[in-house]
Amino acid sequence: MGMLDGKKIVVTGGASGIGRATCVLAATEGADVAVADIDLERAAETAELVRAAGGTAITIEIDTSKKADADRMVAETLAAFGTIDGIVCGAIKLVPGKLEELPEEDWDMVIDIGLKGYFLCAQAAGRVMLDKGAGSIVFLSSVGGVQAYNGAGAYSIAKAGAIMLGKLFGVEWGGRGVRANTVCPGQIRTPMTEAMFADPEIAAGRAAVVPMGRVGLPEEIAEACVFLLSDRASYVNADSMQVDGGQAESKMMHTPGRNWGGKKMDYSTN
Amino acid sequence: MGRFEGKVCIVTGGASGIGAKTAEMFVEQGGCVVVTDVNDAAGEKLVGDIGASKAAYLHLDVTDPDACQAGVDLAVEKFGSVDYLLNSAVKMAPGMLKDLSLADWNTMVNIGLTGSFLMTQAVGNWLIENERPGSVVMMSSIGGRQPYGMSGAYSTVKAAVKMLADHFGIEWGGYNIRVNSIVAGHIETPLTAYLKDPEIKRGRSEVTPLGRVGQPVDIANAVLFLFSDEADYVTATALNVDGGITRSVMNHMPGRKWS
Repeated sequence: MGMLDGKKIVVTGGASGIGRATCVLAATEGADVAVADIDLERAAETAELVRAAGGTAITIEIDTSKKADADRMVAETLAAFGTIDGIVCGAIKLVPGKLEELPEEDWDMVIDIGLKGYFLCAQAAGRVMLDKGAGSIVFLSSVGGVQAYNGAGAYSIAKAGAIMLGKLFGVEWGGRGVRANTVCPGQIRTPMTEAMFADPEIAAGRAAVVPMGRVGLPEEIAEACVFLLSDRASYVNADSMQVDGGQAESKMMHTPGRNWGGKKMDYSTN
Repeated sequence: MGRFEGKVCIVTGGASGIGAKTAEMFVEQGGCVVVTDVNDAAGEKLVGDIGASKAAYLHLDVTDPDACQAGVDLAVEKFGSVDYLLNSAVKMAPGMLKDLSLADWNTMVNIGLTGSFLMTQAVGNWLIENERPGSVVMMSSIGGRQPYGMSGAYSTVKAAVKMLADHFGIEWGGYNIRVNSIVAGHIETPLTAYLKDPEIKRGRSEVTPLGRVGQPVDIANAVLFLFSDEADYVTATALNVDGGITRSVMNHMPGRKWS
């Protein structure tokens, strides 16, 4: 028996990376999955993986920044599955840059897809879940939503906003049976981050700054998403869960001269 | 005329570092201070330098409630009241949690956390009984926001101190007694003597977005702001005075070539 038996789940950004892993794990746990993405070709690949895992899958082409697209995504899911039990919002576009040079259109693109898009998709799917008095919303934020990610353009801002948006949906809708939570992944090796991890030196350096000593897998984030979608998380609401190997809390690892035991130190105040 | 004219402040751990700087500046800005510590030589020298008409020293073990009360009594007897309290007394007992002795744990927790509770309770109860407003500042740390490996119970105590300030703040809002905490970054004090090593100082400066370690005056300025009427509507909050360090984890990720 699976954690999501019989549930109908929508995943935006489901064509690749964490979104794809979430679609597959949801299917493994018994769900039928609507794979929503702007990249229909790779969404179809994910749908095949969902079917291989035993689930029914549909694909939906969506630009999450457009309300009409969000509404159509819900309509197509209802037409195929009859209802919606949960949505994972993960669609994002990276447009890096330093704030001093960031063009307005780059800011807008990230905020429109990564923040407004979460709102539009969660609102549209959430209305279905409110009508039936049950459901779960999961937002993908990031360690960059907890710690300022310099050079990442509007990414940290969108991700911090996503955390609060998840809490707000949870507070507004929790009393009507719809939970909303956020997952904050750390560094995960996905197609989006492959450009960085392809360099072995960078990959090693990035692993070294994580207290657990390694980067994460999309499947490890999918586990958190599926837990939050499932009834096992029935009292978890308006929360944000870090799944980052401890990275967001690791600043003090980078403090030099911290060899308290090895170096002679004089704590002479008292 | 200074903004603290006629005001009286108690500083625990006042003999050196952030406490001493706060005591000096508080008097410079018009107030009177009771410096308390267990380092009597440094405390008495500081009070001698400030001047006996404006400052008094008291040996005070903050883990002893009677001693905390004696601090309040001295302030009232010598200067007529107590308006503000800075809890900065702490004793380091570093170590890995795996091997940390109960004695070292208790040292940190008793002085840094229980001591802040007892001293704040003593000062607050005097203020409440005398129907006076007041302001208390607790010293938290970046180590209270981010776990500070190998520091023994330090991070745990500093996180708890922040909550203690918040908790007093909400319980005493109705008495107009404000209680806040300061999240201090790397500050050059006798407690952080390792910063005398230029290599460590340079390294710690580099991991701070503002590019330098802080000085006691940086923290004292924030303490005095939280004491003052300028902070009249500020309570139960923590002010980061850390050069931005707490939010800068991502600076340490190599290879941020995005495309």
